[in-house]
Parts: sequence; C-alpha cells; structure tokens
Amino acid sequence: MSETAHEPRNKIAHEPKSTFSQEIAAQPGGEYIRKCIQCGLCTASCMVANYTDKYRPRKMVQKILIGEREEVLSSELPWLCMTCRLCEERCQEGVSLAEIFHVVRDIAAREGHIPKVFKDTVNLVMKDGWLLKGSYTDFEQDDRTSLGLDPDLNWNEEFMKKVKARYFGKEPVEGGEQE
Amino acid sequence: MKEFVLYTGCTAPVRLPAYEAAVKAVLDKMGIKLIDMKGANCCGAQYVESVNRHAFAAMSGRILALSEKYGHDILAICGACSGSLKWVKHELDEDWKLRDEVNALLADEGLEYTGKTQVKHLLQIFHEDIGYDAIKAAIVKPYSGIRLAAHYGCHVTRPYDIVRVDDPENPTIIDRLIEIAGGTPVDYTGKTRCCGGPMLAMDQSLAVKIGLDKIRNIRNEKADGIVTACVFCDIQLTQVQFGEGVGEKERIPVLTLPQFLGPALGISPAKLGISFNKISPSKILAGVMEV
Amino acid sequence: MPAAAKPQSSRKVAARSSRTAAKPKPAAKQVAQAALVVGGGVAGMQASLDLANQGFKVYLVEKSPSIGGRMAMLDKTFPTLDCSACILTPRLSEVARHPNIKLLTYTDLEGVIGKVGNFKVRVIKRARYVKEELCAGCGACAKECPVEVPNEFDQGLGFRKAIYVGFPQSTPSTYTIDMESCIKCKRCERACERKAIDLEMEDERVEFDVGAIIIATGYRLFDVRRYYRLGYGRLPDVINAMEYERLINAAGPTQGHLIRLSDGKTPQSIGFVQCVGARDVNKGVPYCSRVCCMYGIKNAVMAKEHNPSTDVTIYYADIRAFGKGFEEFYEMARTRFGVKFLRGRAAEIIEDVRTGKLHLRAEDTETAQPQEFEHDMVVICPGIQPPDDLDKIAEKLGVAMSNDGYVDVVHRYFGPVDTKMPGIFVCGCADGPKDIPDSVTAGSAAAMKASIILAKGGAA
Repeated sequence: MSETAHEPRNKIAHEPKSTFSQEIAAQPGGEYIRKCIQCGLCTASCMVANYTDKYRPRKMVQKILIGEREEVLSSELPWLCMTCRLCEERCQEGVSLAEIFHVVRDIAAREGHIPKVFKDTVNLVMKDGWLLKGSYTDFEQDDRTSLGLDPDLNWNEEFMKKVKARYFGKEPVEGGEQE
Repeated sequence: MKEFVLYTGCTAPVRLPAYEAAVKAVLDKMGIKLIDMKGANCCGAQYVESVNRHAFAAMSGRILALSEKYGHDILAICGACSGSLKWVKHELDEDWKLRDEVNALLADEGLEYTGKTQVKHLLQIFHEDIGYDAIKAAIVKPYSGIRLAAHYGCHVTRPYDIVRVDDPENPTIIDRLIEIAGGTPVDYTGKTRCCGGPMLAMDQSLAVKIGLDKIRNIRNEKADGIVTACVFCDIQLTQVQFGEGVGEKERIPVLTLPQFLGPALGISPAKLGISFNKISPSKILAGVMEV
Repeated sequence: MPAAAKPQSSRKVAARSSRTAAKPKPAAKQVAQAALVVGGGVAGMQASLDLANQGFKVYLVEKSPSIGGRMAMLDKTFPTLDCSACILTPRLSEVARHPNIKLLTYTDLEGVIGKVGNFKVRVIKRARYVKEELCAGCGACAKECPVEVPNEFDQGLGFRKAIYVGFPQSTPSTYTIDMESCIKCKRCERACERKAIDLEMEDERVEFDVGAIIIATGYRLFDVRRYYRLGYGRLPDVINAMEYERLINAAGPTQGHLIRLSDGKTPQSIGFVQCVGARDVNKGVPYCSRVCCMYGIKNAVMAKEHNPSTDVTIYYADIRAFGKGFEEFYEMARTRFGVKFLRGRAAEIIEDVRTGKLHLRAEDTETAQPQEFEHDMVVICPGIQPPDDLDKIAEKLGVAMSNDGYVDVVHRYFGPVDTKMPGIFVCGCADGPKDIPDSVTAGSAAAMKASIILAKGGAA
C-alpha cells in the first residue's frame, strides 16, 4: 500500500475497533478466546458451516477479536451454533467456541438482540415451568397410561415465576425481531 | 440396590414416552431403582441457557437441589438435560457466588444445593453402575445378524472434561452394548457429528440437511437400524426421514437404547413401547420376539 | 579460561542416583579419563568423535543393534536435500574405526553411581547370540532363516528375518538374533562359515569408570493414533512421516517406490497434515515441535520429485521456516516444485469406501470455505517427543526433567547442554526438538563441556 500525497483510499485499522474480545474473555467460558490463531479446524469440523455459506465459526471469533461488537451482537449467526462442541473438542489452542457464543448470546440478549424463536420459547417456559404444557393433550396422557406411566407429570410452575422476576423483570422477555 | 432419582426433562414424557417406559423396564430388570422426580422444572437447556446464564444456573440448580432432597443421584435420560445439569453442577461447584445466588432463590422452598449430588446419563448407568458383565449374563434372547449404527449425541459425550461419559471422538459404550446383545455394531463416517436437532429452532431446512447427512452415512454402511441415547436425537433422526428425499422403504428404524436391549433381556414389546416408534423396527426385532 | 559455570544442584543428588550409598572418595582423586555417551544417533556420534579426537576414551552405548539413529532412517534432509544415509554412513565408519571409541550396541544402561569425575557405570550388553568378534556381516545366516517378522527400522512396513541387521550399513555389521521370534531351528548356525552363532549366549554386565556422561537419546514420534479423527491406524493410506521416509527411501521396503499401503498403487494426490502432536493443549503438547514444518515441506518436495504430476498439498496453520535457507526452501517448494499450501488445519480424514480414496476435511481460511479434499494418501507429520525410556534413564542418572518430559538444562542461554547434575550433559533431541545441524552442534558443545572435566580433573 503506497503512501501518496492524499489519504490512502482504504484506511487499514491496526487495532481492534473495541475491547469486545476482552469483554468476552472476562466471562466464564470466554477466557481463551484470544488464543485463537485462526487455523480453521473448528470451521472444518462444524456441521453448520459445512451446510451453509453464511456461518463460519472461525470468522465469528475473528470478528470478536477485531472488535466488531455491534456487528456480532446484532447478527443472527451466534444463534446458529448447535453447541455440538465438536470444534471445542478439537481446537488445539483450547478455545471454547460454543461457550464463547453462549457469552455473546447472553450479552446480545441483554442489549435487546434475541431471535424471536428464542424469545418465545423462553417466555413459554417462564409461564409454564416447562416447555410442552401446550402439547400435552389427552392423547399424550392416554399414551402414557397405556405404557404404565403416570399421566400426571408433576411440573412445578411456581419456581419459574421467581426466576422470571429475578432475571427478566416483570415483563416477558423483550427483544428485537431477528431475521 | 442402587437408586437414582429420574429426571425425564420436558420432552421425553410428551414426545417419547416409550423411551421413559423402556428405561424403567430395563433398569428395573437390571436391579436399578428409579424414583420419579416430582415438582421438577425445565432444566433450561438451549433457550434460557442462551439468554441468561444465571437464570439457567437457577433452573438446573433447582433440579440438583431437588435430588439432594431426595437423597439420591440424578439419572438424566435426555442428552440435553444431562449436559445442562452437569454443566451447571460444574459451575455451581466452582463459583461460590453463583451458588449462593441460586440457593437464595431456592431457600424458601427449603431446597439447597450443597454439591453432594452427582448427575449421570443413561450410558453411565449401563457402563458404570450395572456393568457389561451383568448385562451379558442377563441376555436371554440375543440378536443375530443385525447391523446397528450407534448415535451417541453431542450433549451426552461433550465436553468430555465435564460430562465424562465416553471418549468424545471414539465413543464405544453403545457399540459394546449392541455387541453384547448379539448385534453387529457398525462404524460410519461422522459418527460423532450432531443430529441437527438444535438447529430446528432457527432454520428447519438446515436442520434436516444436517440430519440427513447422518442418515446417508449410516445407510452407506447398510445398517438395519440406529440406536440412540438422547430424546432429541431420536426424534430428529426419525423425523428427518419423513421429509423429502427418503422413500418409505428406505427409512431406517430408530430405537432408543433400552428399547434395543429390552427384547434381548426378555422384556415384552408392550412394556418397551415398541409400537410407538414411528418407523417400525419389526425387522430388527423379528428374531428376538413375537412382534 | 574459567571452567564451566557450576551447576546449582548439590552433591547429595549425585549419591541418590543409585541403590548403594556413595562410597568414600578414592584416595587418589583421579578423574577417570573416559566419558559415557548414551545414544548412538547423530548427536551422540558427534560428541563421541569430538571427545575421542582429543584423546579421551569414549564408551558409546546404544540400545538398538546399530548406531545411526533416526538420521539413518531418513531419505533426504532439509534444506539441502542431501541424501541422509550418504552423509551419515561415513561417520558410522569413523565412529566404529576410532581407536578411542568403544562401541557398545544392543546395550542398556543399568545404573550409575558416583559423581562428576568419577562415575561408575554399569551396562547390560544384551545377548545378540552372534559373536561380534567373529561375525563378518556376510548375511549367509539370514538367507537361511525361515522366520520373517516386521522390521522396526522400516517402521514395520518391511520385513526382516529373526537373525538380522536393521539396515545394510548397520554399524557394527554384526547380526543379531531376535530371540522372541527365533524358532531355534539352527539353520543359521549351520550356514555360518565362521561359527559366529552362539545360541547359548547370555547378557553380559560390563562396568567401567567415566568422568563425564552425555545424554543423547534422541526422539520418538508422537503417537498419532491418539488422534482418532485423523484415521491413522484405521485407514491404511494414512501414514506418518517416518513411514513415508521409509517408503521413498531407495533402501526401504518398496525400493523407493511411493505406494499406497492399501492397494500398492502410486498415489496421484497426497496431503500432508501439520501440527499433529504439537501445538495442541488437549494432548499435553502445547509447544511447537520446531522441525515438522520443514520436514513436511521436504517430504512434499520429495513427493513431487518422485512423480511431478502428483498433486501435493500441505495443510497448515503456520509455516515456521526459521533457519538459514529455510524460507528459500519454502519458496522453492511452492514455485519450483508446485507444492500447494492450504492454510487450514486438517479436521478429519474419512475413507470413501466406494472409491478407496481419502477425504480430508479442512477450511481454506483464505477463502473461508470448508471443504473435503480428495487424496490417495495422507501423510501425518507428527511432532517429536522424548523417547519412552528417557525418564528411566534420567532417574538412573539423577538428572532433572522438565514438565514436558525432556531433560532439564541448567541455563537456557549459558548452560544449554548442562543438565542439573554436575558432570552430565545433554545434546540432540533429549532436551528438546532440534533438527540435524542443531543436534550436531549440541553434540560438539556437550563434548566440549565433558572434556573440560576430563582435562582439568573434575568440575572447578
């Protein structure tokens, strides 16, 4: 890139845009993110990366390392990780990608970026105490009885109300629509 | 007699009750006593887990505390649940502040997590608590000439440091059990890959593609069936075979591990909920029982 | 010139090194004018020659039947592409012929007592069942032997007889009987004109005094079977770098024809996998193994030399071409020989049962595309490790080890060949991965340090 009398057309940034990587590294699970050497072992192992064009775990870690906070937090990509942890098992530098993406999701949710399906499911479990109350009909009850299983599932609904009050305020989970 | 408190998770009782029934039937036969956990809540896997780490710890933490009240270790039969419970246990054991925070929420129920309880997945019960020798001795009607592909599930086997169930790159517990019951365990490409279940929420067609990758690799080895040890994996690997690209005749039956072991141990199909399996495993079971 | 910097550890440690307590010092404080070198590879041989050329006696102990070590197994060396055996074998003769070097091959170190200037060494000369002074190395016995077993020198790819030499230039040229495989048919005995075979031979204990000891025990390859996902040990066409060396070596099991082990066909497409058993925190080897990038490139160049139309790709995270001539060698591999370099660590190697070809999954990080690359053969380039028995030898010598299993040195910069035990030095790969020039340099350095003791009568 030769220096000329006027400014170079593309400014090369020599520092990360923000301290996002330190923010991630401060959370449990994110500690070793700065060990990443961008070798691509994770992406090669990732089933999602192998079946999509948009998702590359290595690139997401790269974006975090160069400080692209807004881009990463508002993206749906961190929510595509299946937490299968094949990448974590294989990473030779000890980077825990699925945990890093969990930390990213946690921060993203707090700042109002959460895909609709996650928001809806969380609200549902807050309300009912478990996920499938609405799907547990007479048919399923009969199935259980015919198998000799107790049709009364005994789920506790009260505790989730405490969880909701403590961690999510009085309103159901707020969040922007994703995608 | 070993006792465990059984945590089924949200999904098994509703969508895969046969798995729950089969677990109970087989473990009863092998001398393990199970107590149903009453008054439980969702473990928080995947959804709350992604949205708020502390809420997730509270949810799984309550289940750990409940099992302490019962005075027994937990058996989790779903991979996602076992992964969540083990993960949160690890966090609560290491982070006292978090533990105090969770216990504060549990206090007025008279519940407390002190660290006493252990969490086991079904595979560990077979491997560690019952043992291969006892299972071998209990086989009365071995399979013969049946090729089966084992699917372990990601949350069952990883991260190894926390779950400690089996070798994460080369797991063998289910394969050994297949062998002990007289079947032929079949190795296939991508044995440790994910079934795609967790992707259903965000992108269903992608989830199906990932699931079909596994089915294709299993079909390449000419397996007669798939044996699973996780609720979601079982549902996913069954469901993807009902979409496009898989003809009715090509569908490979999916059996949960206790449904596979049960007939060889002399347990009747009714007790194992075999008729509930969407893809009939009748060909597999033909040799060992009157279906 | 001041003597070598005094090592930190106390003399008490020296006495600890053996079963018996330290005997009272002999009345005459005569430093034994001999040295022990443990390990007959290129570093040990260099150390032995340098000491012997000064007039000191050297006992060169080597556990295998021949000196030469790893370098004897290699085909070509980097970055010069010299024929390894061609430059090594003259040294084997030099060592064997040297009047001051006593070669004790097929010999294990049993114990050492004493201290700097006066070590009493006991070794076990294991029975070869062939008399060294009579055997001429003619090979008539091997022709008659009916037993064939895998040849360790060829990494198990070729065969040897129960009575054997590992490779043609074995030094000494004495044959050895592997008694575990021998069926005692005695055909060798009948074939030997010089009556050199002695099936009743027993192990022999030999004791001698030395003033200084040099550890030069070399390395072994990281066991790549520990990477299940790479398929080594399950898929026959996935081989490791040393097996590759034997296959491309003209004196090897296939006379230098590089072939697939599954079907004997010439591979048209080869992949080389770097950073296996090195730079991996999960396997307890977080450090870089120094030599694998260069030997991987050298191997890739050799594949192209054997068959220029072969498609050759190296899968790497970084290329560490740190030494003199290394960067030029890397450049030459790319431009002159057409070796492809793909920046992406190999994740998985799968076999396509229908075609018999291997599929290697890696992400091309320069284009962000994870793909499956098809190859006929994949060569894993493992990191190098301390040898299996190094910890036992270190224990016998009372020498401190570092956390990663290598011999620990007194000072990284100013005592790189001094172990923490006075009078005992280390060279070659025993204290860390090194290439051939660095190993030879360390051998000379260790010899120098040892000779200070021998010349001046003990540590100053």
